Amino acid sequence: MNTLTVTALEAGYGNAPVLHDFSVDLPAGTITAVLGANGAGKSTLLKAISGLVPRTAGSVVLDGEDVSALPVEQLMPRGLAHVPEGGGIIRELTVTENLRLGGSWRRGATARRTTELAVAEVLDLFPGLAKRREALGHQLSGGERQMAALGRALVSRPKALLLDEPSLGLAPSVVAQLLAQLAQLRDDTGLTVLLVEQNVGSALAIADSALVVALGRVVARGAASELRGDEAIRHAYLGY
Amino acid sequence: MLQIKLVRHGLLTLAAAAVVALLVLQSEDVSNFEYIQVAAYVCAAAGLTLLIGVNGQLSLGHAALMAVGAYSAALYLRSGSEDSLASAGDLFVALLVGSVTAAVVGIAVGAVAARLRGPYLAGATLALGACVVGVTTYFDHLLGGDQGLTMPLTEVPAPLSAALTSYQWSALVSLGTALLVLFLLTNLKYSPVGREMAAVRDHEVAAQLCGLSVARVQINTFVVSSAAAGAGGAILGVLYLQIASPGAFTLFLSIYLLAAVVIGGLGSMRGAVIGTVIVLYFGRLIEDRVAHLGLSTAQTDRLAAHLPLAAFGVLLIVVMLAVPGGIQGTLGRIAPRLLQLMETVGGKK
Amino acid sequence: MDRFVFLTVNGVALGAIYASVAIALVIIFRTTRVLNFAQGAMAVASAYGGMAVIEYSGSYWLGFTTALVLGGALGAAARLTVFRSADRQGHLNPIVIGIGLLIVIESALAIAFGPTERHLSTAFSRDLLHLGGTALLSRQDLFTLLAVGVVMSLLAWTLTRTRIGLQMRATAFNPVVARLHGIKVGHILTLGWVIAGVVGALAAMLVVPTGLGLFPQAMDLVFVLGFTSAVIGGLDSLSGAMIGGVATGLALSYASGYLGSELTYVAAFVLLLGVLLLKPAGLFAGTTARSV
Repeated sequence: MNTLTVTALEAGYGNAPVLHDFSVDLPAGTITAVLGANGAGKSTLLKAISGLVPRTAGSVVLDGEDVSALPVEQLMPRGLAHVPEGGGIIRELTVTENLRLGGSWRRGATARRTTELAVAEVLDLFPGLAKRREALGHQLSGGERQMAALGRALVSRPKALLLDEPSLGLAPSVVAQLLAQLAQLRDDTGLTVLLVEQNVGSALAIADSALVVALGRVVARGAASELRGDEAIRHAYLGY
Repeated sequence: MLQIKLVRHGLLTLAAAAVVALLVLQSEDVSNFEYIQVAAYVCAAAGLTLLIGVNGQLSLGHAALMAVGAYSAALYLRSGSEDSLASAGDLFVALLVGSVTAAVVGIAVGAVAARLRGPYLAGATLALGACVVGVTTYFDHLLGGDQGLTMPLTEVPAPLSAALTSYQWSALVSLGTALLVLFLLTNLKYSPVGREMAAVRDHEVAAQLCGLSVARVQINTFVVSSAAAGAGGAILGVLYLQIASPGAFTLFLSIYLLAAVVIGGLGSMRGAVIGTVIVLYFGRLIEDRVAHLGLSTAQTDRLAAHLPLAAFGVLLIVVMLAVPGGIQGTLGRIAPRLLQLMETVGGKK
Repeated sequence: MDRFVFLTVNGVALGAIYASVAIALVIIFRTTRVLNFAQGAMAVASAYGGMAVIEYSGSYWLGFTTALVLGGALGAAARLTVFRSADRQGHLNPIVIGIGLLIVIESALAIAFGPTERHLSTAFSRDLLHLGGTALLSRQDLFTLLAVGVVMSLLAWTLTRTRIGLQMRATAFNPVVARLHGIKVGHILTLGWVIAGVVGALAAMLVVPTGLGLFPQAMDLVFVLGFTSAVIGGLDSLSGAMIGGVATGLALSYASGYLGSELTYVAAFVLLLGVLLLKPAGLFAGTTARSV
């Protein structure tokens, strides 16, 4: 069963499509890495899936429901969380408030309790964050910011998570820790992730499968282990 | 290149002057009286066009600068003996005094304005406009409080007194001044100084990198714009209203000017003239229509006084929404069409 | 000394009103970067509605409520019509649209109700209460302080303690992130305009009967003072707007008490320029620079 199915997606700014005929399936409980050079269209892919960039063709199906026509704000309530590049932590809000934002779309009698419970779980999951719960967004370190962003997405209890370059600007040890935690989440809770990374080695280490993107098209795809071993692809697209 | 433009503008101005002179000589006193108002508004609108259209600074307080022009001209004219008529010489000096005093005030306002952007500048100039009543009331021994300062009548100079009525003389002086202002501002716009103003409007950082002092250019523009507004205010006070009083220089006057400039297309001096004529003519047209509705006098007065303003408000909003990309430049195209529409509407009565 | 105490109390009561106008401006500005120049005119229109209901029904409180509801409705209407796309345009367009709306409303009121002053009653007596021999403030002043206090507390509580408040703050600081978290940004922005309309209408109902009376331009000068207060607070801080309002009220109360009441608005202008020149980012500015 695929949690997220993207079929023949085309998207871009104005009349110039950045993505062409883009398809990807995310089986439940797996991490799929999207690899490629700067400007290959990786971030645009995530934005197109969540509707931040206009889609001109193709479809996005989330857990059996076609969400292609829905506006951005209706996707999180349906179970799709998108952590943008840099995390998107709101600088003027505290960590707790940022986390609560992940559940602020919930309505009804139990909404508040559900969200508070989820926030507490996230603070358990990231003890470093719990110590900083009253700190404002702009007071956080890069690693704390990514943790808070990931945590905020988890508060929404997503079916699928789009994660845009969580390692950007972080020290290698912090990156390793963050990605290990992501893998742990997949194993424990069955989280489904589409992970955009430039940090190819670390991403392939935790991913189940991966695709390589160049100029807005998929140029290679396969199990993470296969791609790790494929010399030609490594030289041509991954540069290591 | 610049010389060719200068010669062309000079010839155009002379041609316009000839047409204007003929028009004034052919017209009744009633029309000539209206031409004075047109001339006063054109001066101020031209100044505001330079400020908003060419330099990108918004002012909602140009009525205050016009008030400075009117009051200083009044003070100058009243400094002579009480009941004598103002000679042609006095009149010219009074207009000059109005313009220069407004320019001096403009230095101060411009220095402040150069540090402000967007809504801050708009709010500050709005506050400036709100000061007129307070200042005139506080200095009522000098400025006459609510009553204002009455102006001495002007005298047609002896060689022309046989040929011209007093209104024709006033209209000639007013329109002549307006043409002079238009000529000077047009040339300024196409001069290197004008290009500096436009450069600052288009991209402050780039202008700075080219070695321009953004603040200096903005202050200069404000001073020139104030001088034009001061001349307009002096004409309005001395020749049209024949009084300088706070009630004549309210926020509504500033909005009239803004409407004229926006409708005229923000940027060209020709647009400023067209916009002013449309605003004034449109207002008259509405008043005229209202008078024919057959309402009671009180109702007619109420509608005639406020319906034109409401119409300009709607017009401002519609123009802004119809050209969401920005108000610079592109509006010039709609002005002629609007004139055409008004002719059709006006022709029906 | 008595005079100083009186002017201080009076200044705080006036300041509460300026603070309301400032808050109305700030609520909209911090989310849409639009300074609503029609805010004062919208408030006057609400007050006219309140006056009409008071005259018709004879009940002050029914009219008072009507004015606040009308203020909210006008806010929503402005947002959903002329200001629909204003936040996506340059800074000149929304200003000119606001000015256009201002004269449309003011001239419509003049046509409907006449340009001359109409009577709007106060909620309570304006007779000064004495405290230890000093004439201090009236019941109406107390009501003003109480009403503004209640509204501000309610607003602060909503913003910091409720789901909608969190959504409003998220939208103000980062609308894209807000949308990604399921927040209907358009609705939240409209809600901001509604709140601003209500708070503005409250200011009009409080200031009009104690000030110059009800006429179409009654709030023009109050708007300038509210803007001054908002600028002191940095235009995007709600607490700054409140402090700015009180500061403006005090400054004007002292200026008119010691220098002459004609100078009230000149003093406001000087205060505004002083703040703009000496502390261009406002005294309580958040993270946004002034070069909007």
